[in-house]
Amino acid sequence: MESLPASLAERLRELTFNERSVAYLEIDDALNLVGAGGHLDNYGLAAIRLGEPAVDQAVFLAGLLPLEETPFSVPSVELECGRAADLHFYLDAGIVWVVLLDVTAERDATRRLQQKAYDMTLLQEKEAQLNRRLEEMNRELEAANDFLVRISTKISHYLAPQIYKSIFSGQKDVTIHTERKELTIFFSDIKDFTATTEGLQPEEITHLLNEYFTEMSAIALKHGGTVDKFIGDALVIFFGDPETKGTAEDARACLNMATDMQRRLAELNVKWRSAGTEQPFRVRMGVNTGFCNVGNFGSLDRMDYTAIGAEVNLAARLQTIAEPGHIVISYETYALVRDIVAARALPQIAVKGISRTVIPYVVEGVLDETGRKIEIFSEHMTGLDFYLDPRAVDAAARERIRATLKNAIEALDAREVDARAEDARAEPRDRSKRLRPRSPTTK
Amino acid sequence: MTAALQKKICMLGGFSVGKTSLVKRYVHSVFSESYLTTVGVKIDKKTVDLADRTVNLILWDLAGEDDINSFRIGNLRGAAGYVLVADGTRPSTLDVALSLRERVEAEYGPLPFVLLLNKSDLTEQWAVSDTELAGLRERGWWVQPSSARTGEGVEDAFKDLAVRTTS
Repeated sequence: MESLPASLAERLRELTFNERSVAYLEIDDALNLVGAGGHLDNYGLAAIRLGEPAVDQAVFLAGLLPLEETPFSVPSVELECGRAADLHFYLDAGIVWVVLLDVTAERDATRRLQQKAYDMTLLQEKEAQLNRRLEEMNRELEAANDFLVRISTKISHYLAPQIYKSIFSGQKDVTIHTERKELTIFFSDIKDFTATTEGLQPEEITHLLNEYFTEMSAIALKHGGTVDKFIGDALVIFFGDPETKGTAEDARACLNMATDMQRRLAELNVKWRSAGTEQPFRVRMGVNTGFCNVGNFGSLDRMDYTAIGAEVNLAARLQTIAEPGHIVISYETYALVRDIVAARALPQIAVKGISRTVIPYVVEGVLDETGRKIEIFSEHMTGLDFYLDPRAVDAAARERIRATLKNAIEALDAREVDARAEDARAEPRDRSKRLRPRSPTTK
Repeated sequence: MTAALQKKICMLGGFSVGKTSLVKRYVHSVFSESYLTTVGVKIDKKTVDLADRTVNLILWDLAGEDDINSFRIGNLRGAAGYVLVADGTRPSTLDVALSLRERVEAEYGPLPFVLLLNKSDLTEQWAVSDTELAGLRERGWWVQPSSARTGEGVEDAFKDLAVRTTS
């Protein structure tokens, strides 16, 4: 200050006093207000009374007196009146001086900057928080999804794969709804299943049946069939829903499936017999093509996806008239598959609910590309496992098979002679009990 | 002298936790949704009538700093107690409040304080667990959820401080 010219120093004093709205308080060691001046009204202090306790009149002094440190200042204090001031305290000769300098404008400028910075930081925090929540939700969704996948995988074992797929892909609604569709329906049943499995333990029966159904279902799936249901040892499969390749293609797929099943069954019988199951599984099959109602049947709580109608019943009926190991199809199916199978008409039958004449056809073999019939030989009984698909053997094998068959016939003939002799010796008078020839039935 | 006791109480906590809103709720019974940052200090007065005495709480609402190092510890000079405020929807602000408490205690020794976990009305975004709260209370602290919007926990906190700073 000393170096400033007197007039400038005076000007500065004036400037500060007016621009900063300088005000002061003077407090004695009894903490009473003993003096005050300047722009007291700017800080809401116009009404202060000298000689009374300072703290009661300027509440910002609470806790600060007596001064512990001098000089001491508190920047930017917004008082009750709304003005912001820098507070400067200093002790001089037992008197505490409090100087107030107005900084409201600076405070407002700082606030604008600080507000922007904090708003930005808050936004960033919010964004980070939202991201964390998103990640958390994603993890939860993934977990829920995994759970659903596990559950639906379990459920899938109770449904035909096509039905499962069409429901879980959202193509089909799970409501009671049926449609009329032209289907090819397949029924199969194991001949004398109860008698066949009589000597077996329940566990063995379960195992056999499960293996049989697993194998047959796999074949059905391979050919695009919808496995409708298992009824005891019977199997119901239809073609044409939910996926169809057209009525004729569906029927052909069904017949190809049926012959595939016969072939696989022959292999299974060999395997089971070598594992100790005496009686082979001999399966009757029935196939029909016609309009059925297909869809969800039942109640809202418990539905079954299935096909019903007289044409379904006909397929079941055809199965019952099939010889074990054979496939019987309706004329309607035959008309669609005559280019791939050879079949012979059976006497016509009457079926409840079907007004037309029903002529069953027994499948005698499959046709090759040139339309030539290929007979497939399949016989399974105690003492015999025989399956021959001539298409599947090459020249060398054919020679071996011929030799084997020749030897086999000779062995059978020899056995025949022995049996007669034994028979004659044992009961020469009782002719009725003579063992009848046991020649294998050829197809 | 019939003059009431004057007690300086500081509001401490990270920025945007609701210190100014808590004071406004307590002193003026109002709440505003908009956020206005505090610069420096804002002084308010609230008279509390206790059973046997009247106390004037001189509330020093201190600017919340995002950088704890720029906190002016000197502003607590002469404080009789303080209100630590954290935002229950922003867990990081609880850490800020706890380190502020440590700084105050290092400088001024143990002072009466209450810890408010503010914005308890925002239940959807609430991020502080009850076990965490219980853990803090186990230290013997007065800890409450609060809401400047609904007024939950506000009156109680200041009253508790008024009692403790004058007894």
